[in-house]
Amino acid sequence: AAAMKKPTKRRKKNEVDLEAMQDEAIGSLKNAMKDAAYDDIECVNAHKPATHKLRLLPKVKETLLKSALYDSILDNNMLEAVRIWLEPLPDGSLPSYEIQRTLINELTKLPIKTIHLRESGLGKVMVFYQKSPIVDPILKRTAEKLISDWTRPIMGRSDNYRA
Amino acid sequence: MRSARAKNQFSAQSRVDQDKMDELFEIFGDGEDYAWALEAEGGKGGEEGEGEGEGEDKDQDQDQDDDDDDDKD
Repeated sequence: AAAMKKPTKRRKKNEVDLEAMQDEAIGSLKNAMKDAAYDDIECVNAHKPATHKLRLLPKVKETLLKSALYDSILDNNMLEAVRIWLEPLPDGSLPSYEIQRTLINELTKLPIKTIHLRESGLGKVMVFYQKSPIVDPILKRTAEKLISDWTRPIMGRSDNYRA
Repeated sequence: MRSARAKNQFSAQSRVDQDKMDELFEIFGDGEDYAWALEAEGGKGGEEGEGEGEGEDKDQDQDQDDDDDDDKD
């Protein structure tokens, strides 16, 4: 019986270790995302090519694609970095279409709750995407759907909003 | 009596609605958070604005174009 219990304990410890490792990895990626965003802002201000975010995008995409990391992504407020990536640059231009498309599409899969929106400020940037005349119409529709999905729990009634 | 109760219910409902509105405002802002960018986009106008919006892409495309030139068969 003792031999049976040991693996359970070990597995639980491993689960905690794995969770901590995931949190650390997500925290590290979040910081890298913020650094890349600020580097791009500096490049734009200096009229230089801004490609830091694009270079990091494959890693960000790979992470956002893993549903096993959703809890860690949300708990560690990686959405704050996503919000910074989606924000317009100092010259009023948008991040590259690939960044917009990847991030906004992945946002539709994440189980985002009101608290995550409050922490990240993501709702405000999504309103910008809904309003901006230069956003791709398909992404605009996705932004509208996200806003609708995020509004519904606050209002508590699904019939208050257009589908 | 009924009128007072209805008034209280209306008042409570109004407060709930106000709370919801406050929360919506907190989450989504007043629509002015990125007004500066919308103004900048408006100033660029139409297709030009969209082109500017792809600033990074353009830079990236430029790099890729250079690479493509090198890689051409």
